[in-house]
Amino acid sequence: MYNITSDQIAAVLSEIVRERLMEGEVVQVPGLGHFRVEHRPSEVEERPDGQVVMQPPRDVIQFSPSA
Amino acid sequence: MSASLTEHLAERLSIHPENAQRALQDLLGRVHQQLQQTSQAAITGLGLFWYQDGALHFQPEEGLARSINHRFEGLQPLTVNVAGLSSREQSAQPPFATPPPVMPGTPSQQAMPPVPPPAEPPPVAPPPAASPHTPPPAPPPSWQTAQPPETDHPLGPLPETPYEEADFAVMNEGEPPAAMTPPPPPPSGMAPDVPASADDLGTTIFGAPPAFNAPEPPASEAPPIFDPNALGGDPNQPLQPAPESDFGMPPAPEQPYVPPDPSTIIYGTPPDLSAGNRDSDVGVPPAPEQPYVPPDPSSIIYGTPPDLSAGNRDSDVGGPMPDPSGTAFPAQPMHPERDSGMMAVPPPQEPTTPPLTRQRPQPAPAPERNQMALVLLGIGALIIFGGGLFYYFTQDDDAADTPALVENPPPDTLTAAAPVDTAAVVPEPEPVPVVPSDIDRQAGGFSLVTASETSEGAASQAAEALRSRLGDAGVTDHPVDVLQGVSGGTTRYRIAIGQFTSEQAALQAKNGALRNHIPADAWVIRIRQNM
Repeated sequence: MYNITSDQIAAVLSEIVRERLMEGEVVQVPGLGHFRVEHRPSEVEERPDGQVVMQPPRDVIQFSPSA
Repeated sequence: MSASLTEHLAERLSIHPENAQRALQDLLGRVHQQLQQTSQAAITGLGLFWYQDGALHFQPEEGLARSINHRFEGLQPLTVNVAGLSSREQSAQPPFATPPPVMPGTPSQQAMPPVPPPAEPPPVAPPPAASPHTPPPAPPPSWQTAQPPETDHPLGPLPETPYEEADFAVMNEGEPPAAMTPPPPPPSGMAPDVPASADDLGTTIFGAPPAFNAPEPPASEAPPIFDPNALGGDPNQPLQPAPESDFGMPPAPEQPYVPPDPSTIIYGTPPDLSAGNRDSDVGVPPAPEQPYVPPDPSSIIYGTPPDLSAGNRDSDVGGPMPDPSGTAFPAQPMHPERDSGMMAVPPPQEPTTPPLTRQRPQPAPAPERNQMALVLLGIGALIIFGGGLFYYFTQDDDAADTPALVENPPPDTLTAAAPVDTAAVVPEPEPVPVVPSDIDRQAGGFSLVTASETSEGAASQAAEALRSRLGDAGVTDHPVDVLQGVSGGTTRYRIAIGQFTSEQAALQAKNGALRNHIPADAWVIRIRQNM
């Protein structure tokens, strides 16, 4: 058989997902879902205290579970 | 990606892809099992998964999220001035520099403890009632006041301007840049208002455009360019939509068309410059369509005296022009006083004199040229055909004459019937002088021996060679023969030349006529009957 622990496979899996996402690809993990990167532009946000702040743009990870 | 994901896993773990597939399935099976038990599960280095409202959600780990957001890492939110404070003072206090929330299920929590799902963000409170001249009431909260000093900003000290568009515009690929120009200081008479919507925020934040704040121009100033009243329109009448072709320009006033002065038009009729034809008018009136009338040859060569009256002199530059109608320049007698010096050559008495020298030869029309080419081709073909016939008959005559020149043709040769061209041309070869080969042994006498061989064949070849050499030299009055004799028990075959009556005569010939044709050591021998 093989001597691969769950931690090892999880670490390698996260590493691969990270690299692919940083390259802009969509990563699909079979049986779990697919990950992709979405860009959020800067937006103005008004806080409950009345302050208005402008949030900087950012890239976020979007996860869509598989059916 | 699934196949490549398995392959990548196998490559990095140095295992077989099938084993990598099994390992991945085991990991995902555990995750699903954990999700069913506790509604959440975490994968080390990836993030947290949890069920909420029957849907699977994902929260990436901090390290993964920062790696993905590496392009905008370190950018801080900007506090927008809404209370009349300078934006620089606000931006000097980074309002939201708190570290990202710690995600449950970090690598330190490998045991996957049950963590409540992240709370939903609190609903945004409605903005406070907009009231002019009202400063922001709430002081900054504690997390906002406890900020690191300005020098500890990840992007360095703040610039002079509170907000640089390039900070964000560089990162927004494919998105229209937001209107984030530095807000100009508001006019003194302008009071800031808290907007009620996001659209109003931009106006409030960055100030109103100065164009809208410009004072009304006095009535004495020139009206704006689009003021219809300035164009003579009725201010009480509604504005009429401008035609599309005007592109915002005021329509040109309609002016009645005034036809040009006929006297200024030299030739032809005035063009039709009605309203329907003005679009095509680019400055030159279209040429009138008139049927072509071939000019009179007499008028081309010598022409009739042009009308050099005052109205036509300016237009007459290159000579008279043929009038299609033939009536523009009627033949008029020359005025002796007016035309003196202008017509040096009087017109000939016979206007029907054919043009000879001044006309350029006109190229023949295409059909005529084709006919001429055909005629030339026919002539060339006839010439070639005639030449071929001439050659054929000439050759036949030569062939017919050849048998008469050949005497006694060989009857059995296959080429007897073929014409022999060289028979009558090649002269007969000159008769080669034949050197006699017999020495009369019965007559006796003396001879000159040039060589002695022990073989009869070699002696015969040497004798033949000597005959040929003497024949080429024209020495044919001395026979060459092989005289046989025995000397010392050996039969000798001697190549002998000449038959002399005495030994002196032989030596005289050796040193005389045969000196250059026989060896110098040739000797004299007596001719015997048994040789």
